[in-house]
Amino acid sequence: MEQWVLTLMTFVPLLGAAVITFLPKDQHNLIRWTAAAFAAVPLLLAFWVWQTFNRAGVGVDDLAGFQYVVKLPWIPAYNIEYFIGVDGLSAPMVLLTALLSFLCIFASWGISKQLKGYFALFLLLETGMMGTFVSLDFILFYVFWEVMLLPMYFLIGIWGGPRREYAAIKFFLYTLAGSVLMLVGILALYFQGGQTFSLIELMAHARDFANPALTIFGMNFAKVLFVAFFIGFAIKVPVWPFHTWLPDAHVEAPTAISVILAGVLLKMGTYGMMRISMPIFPGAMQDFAFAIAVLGVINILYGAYCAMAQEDLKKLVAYSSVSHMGYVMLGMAALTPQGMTGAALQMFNHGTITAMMFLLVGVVYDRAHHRQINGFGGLGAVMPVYTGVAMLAFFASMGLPGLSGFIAEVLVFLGAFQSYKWLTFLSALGIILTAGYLLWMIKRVFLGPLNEKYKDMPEINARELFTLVPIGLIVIYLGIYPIPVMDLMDGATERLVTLVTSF
Amino acid sequence: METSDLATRLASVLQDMPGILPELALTATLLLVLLADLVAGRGRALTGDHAAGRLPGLMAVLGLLVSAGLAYAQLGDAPPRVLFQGMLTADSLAAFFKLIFALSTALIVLASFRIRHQGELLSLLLAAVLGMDFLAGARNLLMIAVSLELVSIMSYVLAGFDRNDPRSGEAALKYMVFGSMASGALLFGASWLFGLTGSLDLAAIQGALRNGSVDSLVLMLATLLVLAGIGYKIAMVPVHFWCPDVYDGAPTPITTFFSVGPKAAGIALLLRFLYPSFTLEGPLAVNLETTAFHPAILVANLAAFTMTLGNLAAIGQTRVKRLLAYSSIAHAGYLMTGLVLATPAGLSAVLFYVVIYLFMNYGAFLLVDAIGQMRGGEDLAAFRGLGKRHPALAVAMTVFLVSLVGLPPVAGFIGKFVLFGEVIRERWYWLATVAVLNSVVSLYYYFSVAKSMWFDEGDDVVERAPLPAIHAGIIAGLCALTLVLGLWWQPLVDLTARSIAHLI
Repeated sequence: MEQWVLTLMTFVPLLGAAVITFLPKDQHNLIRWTAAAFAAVPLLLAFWVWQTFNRAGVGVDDLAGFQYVVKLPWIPAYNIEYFIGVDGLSAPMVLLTALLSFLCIFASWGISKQLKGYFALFLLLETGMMGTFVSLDFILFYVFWEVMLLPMYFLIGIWGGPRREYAAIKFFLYTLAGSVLMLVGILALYFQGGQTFSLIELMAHARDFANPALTIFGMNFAKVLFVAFFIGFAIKVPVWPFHTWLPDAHVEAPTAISVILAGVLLKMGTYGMMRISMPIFPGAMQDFAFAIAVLGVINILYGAYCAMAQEDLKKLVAYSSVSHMGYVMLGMAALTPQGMTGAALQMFNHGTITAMMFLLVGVVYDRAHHRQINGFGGLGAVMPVYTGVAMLAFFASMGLPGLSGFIAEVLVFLGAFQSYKWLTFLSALGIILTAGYLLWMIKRVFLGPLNEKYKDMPEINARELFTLVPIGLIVIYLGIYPIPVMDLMDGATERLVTLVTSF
Repeated sequence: METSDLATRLASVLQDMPGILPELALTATLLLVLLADLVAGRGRALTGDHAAGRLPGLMAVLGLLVSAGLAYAQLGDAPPRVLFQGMLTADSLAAFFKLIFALSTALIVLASFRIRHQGELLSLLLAAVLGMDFLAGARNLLMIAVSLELVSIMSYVLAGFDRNDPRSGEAALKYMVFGSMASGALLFGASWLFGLTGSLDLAAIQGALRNGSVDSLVLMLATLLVLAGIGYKIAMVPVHFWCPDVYDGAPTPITTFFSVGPKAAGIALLLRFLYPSFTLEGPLAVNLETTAFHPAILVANLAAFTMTLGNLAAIGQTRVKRLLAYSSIAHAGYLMTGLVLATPAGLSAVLFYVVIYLFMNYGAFLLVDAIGQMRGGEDLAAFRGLGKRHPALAVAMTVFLVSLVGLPPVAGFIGKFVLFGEVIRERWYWLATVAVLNSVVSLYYYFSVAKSMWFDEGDDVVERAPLPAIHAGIIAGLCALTLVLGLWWQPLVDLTARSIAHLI
């Protein structure tokens, strides 16, 4: 019975979306609480999965290491299966998705326009995200991956800022361009790899794909496909130079959607690289590791420089995501156990920290109706509690020891230094730049003389605190004792590194 | 001629009659509808009863369903039969197309009750379907020419059916002038083929080409001419230019009919023409590629150009009907990728895509028709604020649009998955890449409609009439099919597999 837990987590939000469409239009609170109830179910189940997860299991290419596996035929003609399960790579992501989705329902309390549509689409989005992380069948994965795009398009396009239509279609076009290349890749793998869409079985065919005699466009099959998948995932991360959709989408999206975008959707890119690219094309991963590391460093430095130049608070946070996802890329490309664990941990930690930052930006935006960094000043004096929470988030983002961001970054640097000394040295400059743009922003927003316009700004309220405090506690807890999340992923990340390096 | 000779001939003709039962049903329906229209016209004049006007339409639907049922009965494992001294072939492939033609036209009849002069409309539609049925089974150049003309002439008149709308008349004239040229090209090419090989029978032509030493340049010219004639029907680039004007000008239910029926007939004809040994002689043996001229590469390039041009030209269209016209050009390009392959599985994928294309494209066009009736316009502005005013309609349109783009979890994705999957299986990687990148381009213009419906305010849009119930029913049904097929498409795989059963 208990193997159905992942199915429930994936489809309960979908059921919630269906229920919400039948609720009366003007019962705002009923709609909100229904959405919260349906988002609470996956959270409770995710917590249970986290508790009961067998830490000794390995996963990645070993089906026995996956937990709560369900494998049912779906379309026999194409050997497509409803095949889901979690291992150390996906379990933290599932937990993160459930947590952020639940909290974001409360962060969306202030939405007043077309409430029904908003919450129905939001829950549909949760189904897409959850499904992507638990799928072990390539077509199932692709279906969920694409299912996310549509609600995201509407959530940005209907409830977004002034340039929402442009941002929505840009996000859609970019991501679709990446994912159709992935579709060609999936089909090519299917016909070369014994006609199966099972990720586990495809990994067993890694040597066939790397066979030099097999070519596409006159180049090695595995390498071409690796690049095709990489572009698909890189757009999602987003890796420079595919990042330009991100600032637009983040700035125009409503707060809760920015949180989901930065907290969960960006991780799908790096998750896809770990779940798919590395184990299916280990040889190509070795060949391209250095290039990926270089792109990671570009992300770190370029993202940080861009963040420093921003006038808009939300754009600053958006570019900081570009910069922080660079650490994930660098850690992954190092192909060392520390680097890989650091990358996986950074995915989880960045998800929580950036969620806090976007929520915090939302709090001031709801009050001041603008986000100009230079338009504030001395907020620390009017909103001490808010400022306290904000400091926690920003310092965590800077990588201050004792907060969760630190552990992941140290692991990434430790891992990367063994492989690329100079690149690691360069990327460490990113820490200084991060401190630079965050401290400069803190000085302009929270410190200094009080801007008279905002002397009566109301303090952060209980609902807003409710969305922030749980994440804040996790950030502190994992900063002191990261084991509860690390021991989820340790086995899988080590296995992944051996899989690639021993190929 | 001796009497005994005549008797044997007559006996053989009669013996072949069961092979064209779907066509016979159509012919009978055609006659009955004309008669019923006469009676109904009288009845209407006498009693003023409006419902009597629907009698011919309902009879046509019934007749089409009977024809579809007879076609379905021909689908199966029976070996293909040659009818009427080699004029026609009765095989599962033809039966599949006859089934599609009958069912799709039945929907059109249901959607066009409001059009006046029902008797004329119905007889034209039924005659066009008859021509399409014959095209699907034709294996002789003469038969091809005659049935193609039957379809074409009916289509010209149908395009100009709305006599009060000058655009409709213009569409008809354009369609006819260019169409006649295309027919001329086809006949010219066919006469060359006849001259080269001394036969009108497609299989015999191929046999002669395989054995004899035909100059490949001449053969290529002849093939190109025939291809231009057939390509015209499916709106293949570079003979596509009539399509936006005709689709835009014709009454919308007629446009809907054009966008699937004659196009599918063209695809069937192209299959028969390019791969005669493949579709007529049973198991895949040799096709035209064994001669010096390779149609696959030509068709692959034409497919790539067709989809790219269709998609690029659709960007920036503000009339939704015109936008969908360009989109149907692009979809012809997608369909042609399957024709490149010359494998049974590739052919099955083409049939698979035709069915899905039928559902989603009919849905989109009929919804445009519904909006036209409700709001009196067919441009993007008429769709403004639809999401707020008629959420159910807007959701249905979004489903069709998402399906046309080819996103999961709706049917359009599955169509592309199966079709491009076969393209990739045969290692046409460049073609598959061009095709999927084209879907990204198509997202932009399809979603300009979604943008109008959901993002734009439309409080000032005046609504003249409520949505006709029959339209709502058809749209709901097509929407449900599009959704369900996206998640469960095994039955359709089985159907298309049965349609090509004897080819494998």
